[in-house]
Formats: sequence, C-alpha cells, structure tokens
Amino acid sequence: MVAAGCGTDPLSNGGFEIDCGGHPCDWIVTEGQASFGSGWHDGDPAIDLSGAGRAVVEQRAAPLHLLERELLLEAAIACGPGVSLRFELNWYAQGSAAGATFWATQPQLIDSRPLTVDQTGVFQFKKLTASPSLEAQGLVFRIVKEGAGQALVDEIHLRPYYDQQGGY
Amino acid sequence: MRRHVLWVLALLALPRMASAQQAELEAEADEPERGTLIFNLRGGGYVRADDGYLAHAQTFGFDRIAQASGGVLEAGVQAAPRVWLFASYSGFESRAQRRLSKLELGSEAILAHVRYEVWSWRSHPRYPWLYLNPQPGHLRLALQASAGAGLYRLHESLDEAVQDASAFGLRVGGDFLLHWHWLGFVIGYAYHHTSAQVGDRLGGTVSAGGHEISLGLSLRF
Repeated sequence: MVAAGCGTDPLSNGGFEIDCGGHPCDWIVTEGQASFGSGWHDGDPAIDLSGAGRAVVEQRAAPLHLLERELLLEAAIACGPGVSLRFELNWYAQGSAAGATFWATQPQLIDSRPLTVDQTGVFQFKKLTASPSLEAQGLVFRIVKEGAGQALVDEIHLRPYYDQQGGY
Repeated sequence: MRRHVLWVLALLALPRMASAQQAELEAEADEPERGTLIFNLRGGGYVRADDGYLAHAQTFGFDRIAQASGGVLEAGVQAAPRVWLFASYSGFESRAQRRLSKLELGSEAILAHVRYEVWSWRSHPRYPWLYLNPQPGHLRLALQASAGAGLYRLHESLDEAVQDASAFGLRVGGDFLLHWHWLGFVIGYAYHHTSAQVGDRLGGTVSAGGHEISLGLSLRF
C-alpha cells in the first residue's frame, strides 16, 4: 500500500536502489529499449533510456491517499540535445469490478497529465503538477523518451507541494 | 672631592656602556638564523578543481560534496637568509550522504617546498619603546611565498564503486606567520595543480588540485 500523506511520495524506489532480483522494484520497461544500470556514476543506479527510438518505463502506485492535489515532480536528468523526454501521470479512480487488488477492479482513467522536459544537459527537473481529484486512488507514472541520444533519469520524487514550502 | 670626580666619571661612562649593550643586542638581532626549524599544524578548507563532476553529484542528490576540509602538517628548516625548505603532508576530505549511499572524495599530497621570506619583521632593540623587555626576536612576523612539488593522490568512492588516481603536481602559495618566542600562528593560501583526477559517466571530472586556505599552530625552534 502506498500512501501519500504528509511528506510521503506516491512513487517508490525513485532512486532505483531497491533491488528485486536483479532489477529495481516497481519499475518496468513497457516499450523500447531501456536499462536499469549505472547512472551518472558507476555506483549509482538509474534508468538509462539512451539509444535510438521510443522507450517507455512505468511504475504503478495504488491505492493512494492524497491529502493535497498540488504536487511537485522532481527528477535528476542527463538529456542529450536529440532527445525528447516527458513524464506522464495517469490518474485513476477505483473500478467497480471485483478484484483482489486496485488494478484488478478495472479502474477508470480520470485524467492524463503530461509534464514535458524542455531542457537539455545535466540538471534537476522540477515542475508543479496536480492530481485531478483527491479521490484519485491509482497512478500510472510513465517516463517517455523519443529521439536518439543520451537520456538518464534518476531521483524521481513526487511530493506534496506544501512539503516544499515548509508546510505542516 | 675625589669621590665627586669618580661619580662624574661613572656618569660619563654610562651612555657608552648602554650603547655597547645596544650594539650587542642589535648584532644578535641581525644574525642570520640558519638551521631554525618551523613546524606547522593547520586545518582548513579546500575547493577542488572541477569540471562538472561536483555539479553532477549535486544534481543527483549528493549535496555538500564540494565542501572539503582537512589538515596540513609541515616541517621546515631555514637553509639560507630568507630561504626555507619545507616538507608537508596534507589530507582533505568531503562526504555527502543520500539515503544509505555515501559519496566520498579524499585527496592527499606529499610535497617539498621552497619558501622565500618576502617580508619579515621582528622585535628589535632599535625600537625598545615598543616593548617592555626588548629582547631581540621575541615577536616575529613573516610573509612567505612558496613553490613546491610532489605527489598527489585522489580517492573517490560511491558505496562499492571506487576510483583512485595519483600524479605529480605543483603547489604555489603564500603564508603569513606570527611567532611570539617559539609559539605562533600561521595562515596561508595555496593553489595546487595536478593531473590526478577522477571522472563520472557524464564526462565530469574532479581533481586532487584546487584552492587551499588553512590556518593553525606554528612552532619555531
């Protein structure tokens, strides 16, 4: 269970350090070529989406218990000039089907909110976003890369915005 | 009458005696001090020469890796008037932690330096009004310019990933020393240049060289 309470991050393993039998827990490659290996340093794992073509990596988080709609997405990125990178946040409400898990209830997509990375080089990405509703209980978080060139992503965090303001 | 003559003669001789003592003190103060030893123990900060590595480390969550601290231990001997020969060992380290991961950068240098006393001043019997007890050389101030060379080593680790580099390098700097008798204080700046460097996977590099500012205790014998 993933809870987004005070100071908590709906995403888990944003630093790719938690290992689940040879790959980082909770992250999967759904499209194209991507690897979970060394990032900026041989001792620091990250998602490496470098190479040609489209690649998509995703994480599913549910059930969420959002206390705030305003969220700040942060990531450490190394992005070459020929690469287009974006994050997609697909928010879901619980479905009506019977199922043992949230994703087995056929959840309904409430909204899809992309965040485009409009910078190249090595930098810290920070952008505000918002969940469509506090009732959103599921999140499919995707990293989508298109084009050719270097694309490393690490330290992905989605935090309630009030935390960044020294809030409650 | 005879007693009065003796008093007058004694009074006349006093300035000459004082002048002789003064000359002796001045000669002592002006003597070159070959063989004098200085030991310095100082602590300070180090700003490493960097081409992207430190910024990359900070971007990926290792804050404060740029701030290195450490110490310098050095011993010197006066080889000629104004000229000192020094040997030194220095070590500076910086650490940054991100959750359970620890990034460490440590540099060491073993160097030999030649230092030239650009300016010096010491308490002198020519100016007795400055001191309660004007012995020569009680208080000394000196400004030294230095040039040195030696071996530099840089060690870097992020958890189990380790890199090491060592190379010859050069050091130039300046030091200000203040001594009261044998006890003193030293403050100095040095720039180190060496090709001992390590890199990251994004092309950033960091060197064992850089800017050093240190201050500490100085003993003079």
